[in-house]
Amino acid sequence: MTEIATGARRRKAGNALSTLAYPGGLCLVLLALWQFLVPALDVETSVLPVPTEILSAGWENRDLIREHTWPTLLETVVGFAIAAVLGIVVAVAITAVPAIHKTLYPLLVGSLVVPKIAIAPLFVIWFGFGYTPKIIMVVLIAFFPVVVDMALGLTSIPPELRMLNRSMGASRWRAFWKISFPFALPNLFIGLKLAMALAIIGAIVAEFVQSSQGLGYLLLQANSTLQTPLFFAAIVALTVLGVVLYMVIELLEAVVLRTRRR
Amino acid sequence: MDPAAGLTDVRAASPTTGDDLVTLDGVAKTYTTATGTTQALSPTSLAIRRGEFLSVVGPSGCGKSTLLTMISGLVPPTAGEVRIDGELVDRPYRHCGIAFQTSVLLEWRSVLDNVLLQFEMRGIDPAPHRDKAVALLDSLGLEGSSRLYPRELSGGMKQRVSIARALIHDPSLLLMDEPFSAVDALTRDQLSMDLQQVCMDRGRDLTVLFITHHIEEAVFLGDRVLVMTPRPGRIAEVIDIDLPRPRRLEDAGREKQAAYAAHIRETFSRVGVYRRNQHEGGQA
Ligand SMILES: Nc1ncnc2c1ncn2[C@@H]1O[C@H](COP(=O)(O)OP(=O)(O)OP(=O)(O)O)[C@@H](O)[C@H]1O
Ligand SMILES: [Mg+2]
Repeated sequence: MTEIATGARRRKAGNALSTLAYPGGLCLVLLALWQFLVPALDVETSVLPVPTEILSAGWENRDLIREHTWPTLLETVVGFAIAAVLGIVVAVAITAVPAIHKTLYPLLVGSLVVPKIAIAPLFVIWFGFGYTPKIIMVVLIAFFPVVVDMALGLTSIPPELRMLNRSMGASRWRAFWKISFPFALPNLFIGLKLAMALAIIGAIVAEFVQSSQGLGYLLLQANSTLQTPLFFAAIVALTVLGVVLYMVIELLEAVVLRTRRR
Repeated sequence: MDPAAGLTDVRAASPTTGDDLVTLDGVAKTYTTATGTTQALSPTSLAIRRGEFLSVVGPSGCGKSTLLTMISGLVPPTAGEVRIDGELVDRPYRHCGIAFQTSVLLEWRSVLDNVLLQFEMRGIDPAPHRDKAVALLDSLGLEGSSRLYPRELSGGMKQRVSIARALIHDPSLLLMDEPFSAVDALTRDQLSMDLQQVCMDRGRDLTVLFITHHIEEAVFLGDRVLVMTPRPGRIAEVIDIDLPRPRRLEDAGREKQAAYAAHIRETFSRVGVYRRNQHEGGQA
């Protein structure tokens, strides 16, 4: 029994290793190619720096990068949290009340096709220069997948379960908390992961439009002053930020859904 | 001693005799959808006796599930009325337990918590009922499984949990819609025997409506078997299964049980459930 368990655990660890090792190995190979091909082809640093230059630029400017990471992190996380809560509430409302569904759903789909990036400059006029326009941008971009996936989860409850619910005479409130909401959680997490990836894009785009801090601002600065190694270092920081935030959601998902079928 | 001999006069005995739990009076259902209307069940009158095990067999689409949902009060009939204990059923009837073809267990709850859901949903504190739930699970062949999660169970075990959930609140009526259809033949046999035992233990306190496609199963379990015609379903026949309990599954292919099953197939044939093969000399 324990032997089987440890065997399984070892296999699991092996799996985790190979899921890290294969993409990691590919990255190393590509980085090495990059490192040796760029000088061989005589490309200038301001056009394409080699990985070691990027690394040292990142290290030299670590305080600068850290300083500009916080605002982006704040915008992303706050915007994401608002989008998540708002998305869940709207999904519950449109699945619970047909009239709300009829009214809101077409508008939601309509708002999906509005290019939110195009209206970003307007936010500056409306909401000024602080965090507000950036957070609103994040909310607008991250909100949609939460609504769609949560609503999908809530509507995919099997009819037998609905019948069982009603035969047990539960109030709507109890049925929601004990059955519908937990039932929709796996779908919700799909939406949340997508929303997190989109939230960072929203924050950067908003910073591109107008900002005096944040990784989006740093990117623009490095670009306009031809500090290409710093530009790449900021991209790396942004990627790390994105991966970490995404993994936080995955971790949360693993904990919340631990008893369920994979 | 031919068990099928007295069948014709049995039908006359079905109308209301003294102690009935459920009575259906001209109950019919027509579904209206965007694509048109479907008459699922012809007007049907029927009495389910207190404490009996009533099996229902009939071809697919003849309205068996519809019949069950109308008795449970989950779906209103388009005509006629359903009464349980003399009271009109016009909303979900609360003193029943339901088990479906799929076990519909909640994946995030342990076996025990799935069974106790029955209390929680009714706003009753489940804690005092834990021991009883464990005992019920034991009697359904799930000793020591109460802490497992649904993903750790086989299909047959899940069905047992769903039956336990349907019985834990001591309902007076148990409604089962093809509960064994999704499990393998051997598990199915075992489940039939266990269900017989559970029902015998409860005696007259439990009335069962059991829908199945499996003719031998209907005969083995039923005090009576209700045979239905193709859609829109009508009652073709109600057969008393006059065999002592506990019945042995080993006898399912033998003598009396087999004779009842053969009789049901004759009835199906008569009401046009089977398509006739050409070499049998059927007409055009
Ligand atoms: N909710 C519904 N809306 C529209 N039509 C329905 C609905 N439920 C059932 N029907 C139709 O009513 C008829 C009877 O359905 P029902 O599910 O009662 O049959 P059944 O005897 O249980 O069949 P099966 O043995 O395949 O489960 C079928 O033709 C079905 O298509
Ligand atoms: Mg059915």
